[in-house]
Amino acid sequence: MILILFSFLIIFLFIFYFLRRGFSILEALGLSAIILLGVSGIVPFIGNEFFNISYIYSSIEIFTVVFAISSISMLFLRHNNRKKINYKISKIDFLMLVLVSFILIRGFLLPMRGWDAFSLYDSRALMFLSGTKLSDMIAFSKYDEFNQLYYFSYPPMTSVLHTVLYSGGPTNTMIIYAIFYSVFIIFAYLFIRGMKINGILKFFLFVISVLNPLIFMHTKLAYTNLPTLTFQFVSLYYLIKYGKSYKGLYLLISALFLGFSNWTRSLEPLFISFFIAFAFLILKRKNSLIDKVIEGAKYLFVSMATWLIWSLYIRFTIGGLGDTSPSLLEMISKISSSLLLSNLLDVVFFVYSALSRIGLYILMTLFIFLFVWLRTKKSIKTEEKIVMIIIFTTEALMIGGTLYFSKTFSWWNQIPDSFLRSNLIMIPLTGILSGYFLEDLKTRK
Amino acid sequence: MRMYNKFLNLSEKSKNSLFWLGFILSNLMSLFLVFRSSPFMISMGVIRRVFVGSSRLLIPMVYVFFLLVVISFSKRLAADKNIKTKLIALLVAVLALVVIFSLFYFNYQDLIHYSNYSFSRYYIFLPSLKFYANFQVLMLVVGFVSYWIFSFNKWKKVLTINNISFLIVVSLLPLIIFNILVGIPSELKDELYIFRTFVLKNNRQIPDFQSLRDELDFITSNTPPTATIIHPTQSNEFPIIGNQPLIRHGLFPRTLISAKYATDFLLQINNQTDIYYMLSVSYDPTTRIQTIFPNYQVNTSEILILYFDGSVRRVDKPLYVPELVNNLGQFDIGLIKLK
Repeated sequence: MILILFSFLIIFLFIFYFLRRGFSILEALGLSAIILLGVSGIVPFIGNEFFNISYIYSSIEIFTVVFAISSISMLFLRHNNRKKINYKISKIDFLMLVLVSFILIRGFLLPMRGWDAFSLYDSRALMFLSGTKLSDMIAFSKYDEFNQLYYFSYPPMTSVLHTVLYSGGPTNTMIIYAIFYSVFIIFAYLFIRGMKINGILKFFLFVISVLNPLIFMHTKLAYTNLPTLTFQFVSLYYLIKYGKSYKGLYLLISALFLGFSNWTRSLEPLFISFFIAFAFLILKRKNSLIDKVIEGAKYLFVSMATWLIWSLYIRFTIGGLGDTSPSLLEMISKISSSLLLSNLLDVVFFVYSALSRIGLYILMTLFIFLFVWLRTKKSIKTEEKIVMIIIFTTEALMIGGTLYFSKTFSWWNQIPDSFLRSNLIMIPLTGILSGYFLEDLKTRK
Repeated sequence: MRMYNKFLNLSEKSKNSLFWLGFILSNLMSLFLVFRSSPFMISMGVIRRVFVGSSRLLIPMVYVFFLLVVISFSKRLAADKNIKTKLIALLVAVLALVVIFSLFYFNYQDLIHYSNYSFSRYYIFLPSLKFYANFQVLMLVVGFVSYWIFSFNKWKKVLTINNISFLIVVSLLPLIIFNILVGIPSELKDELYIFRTFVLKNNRQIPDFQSLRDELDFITSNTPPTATIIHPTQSNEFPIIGNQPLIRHGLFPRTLISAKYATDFLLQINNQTDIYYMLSVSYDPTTRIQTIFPNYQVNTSEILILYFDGSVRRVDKPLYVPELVNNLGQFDIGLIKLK
């Protein structure tokens, strides 16, 4: 555990003192915490699965990797002296730190909950710790009537995080989700802090994007939805930062977090919406075509590396997951056959009733889309466009996915809660979008 | 839009009557919906059914109409200093607050008694009351925001795209926050429950599965890690102990066999000891059907029974028969060691 804390310190010092991008203390803290979580969820798994290193040594592995990467990049990167270190902490920053520490203390105390947490994520963690590899878990399907290849249904991010935590002795796992939630609220705060709107509105936006019970509930459940949401949210933050300055570092960070999110949940292909937003950004930039292609390749490579590792791993261990990872052709044929009116009505009704608990958010988003369309004469900001692209493609993917599911599984309409959980990112995205929209209304009347 | 801008310049008297029309209509209709199952409404018969059926369309229309009236009213409120207008505004606001607080009150009543308490006791249909309260919040916010804008004389025309979009987005924000606030008491209840029963008492039980931890601890302490355990098939009767991945969380590294594969497995092995059956009874109170696992005879060397108070009883019988369960009383779970 001490080594993990040291790794955290190294990442923090590296970001805060060496990179010197004018990161505030809050941003540097959040960024280092989430980078550490992402690295800890990948490195020990690869070490165990491909190099036979036991999970007991995972903290040493993580420390070595963090130390090596930061010292190598220190050697090759020039020290950035021009920017001053930003030591300032405003009163509200301080309040945020107090809030975060409350959440972390609470996380240390809470017991673990959630059905899938016990049967899948934490089960895998316990087995990892006792020396069972993921590839050994195929054997468990032999005498199980249901749940065929159940242990392969999700990538191992949160399981490995649990294992790393257990490797230092028995600990309460909910602290992981408390850290994820803390990072999420820090970045929501950073998003909203930069907007040029009234302070009360900022407070309202913060509350609606962060304190919704549907998201807060996930600090009590050991599910993968909150980690995925946090990774994607941070990725979006740096994608938008990249859109403002076109600095390679932000692109790298954004791609990295998208990669981490693919390592947490691979069921919803939300990375596609990030790719479209990113494609929009590089097409807008005035540079040569070759540069565009290189940038695009970098982004694709870093963010899809984890996805590639996972799908190759699945292919070589169990040969495929069946109907949840179909080929493109099969998907198109099934979706087109699902467009019958009766089926379509079923799907629309399912989506409507599943999303009714975030209905007001959806309504708000729809209104903003409508108003942006009605005010076409006025150009809107790039940030707003990116968020709109992501919301639009995400919902299109979700509905397309439901159409596919409706023709593939008989139980497709029995999982409205699960569908709602997959749509959680709509909550903070609505907050951010309305912030940008209000800013637009204020500055360009 | 021009029509509405014209409407803002209507005569005082007709505006007044429109205001009261909107106010009375929206409140009466919502009250009828909230008390849709009260004896009075039931006695209305067909009229009630037609009204409740058509309200899905009628209510939003009436609400939008009243919101437009409220905007014009706040313009008047901002412009003239007449005490009567202010009193009316105060009255409407107080009524709205009463509705909003009654939602909180009845929500709380449901929480501390049982869900559906306010419906069975006061005939209050909570979803309708929630919708009604939501509308009151929306009305208050729209009224307040437009009053604030008019008193600074910012808008010359009311219905331009910019103004409408600003008004709608800014009014939806408090509405969402209001709905978050409505959910807070139940969150708090859950939080208190978790802290009281688990965190403060250092309780090792798993919150979502009442006695699962006891059952799994009982099995692990009475079987070696190399044991094989045959458990019932995953079904409505045995949703938890039939779920192999779920019980593996506590039983790993023991080998787990789903009941369907038990015979296959027993035929394949030779000379393996330490094979156990989970003994479990599921009782459905509605159909009064008792399901016993295993529901066939098993040659056994010992049977261990865990009771709900934590005591363990040992039954020495060479043969297990399902009827044995009836002599054991209410028990949590059992283990049958195969001979």
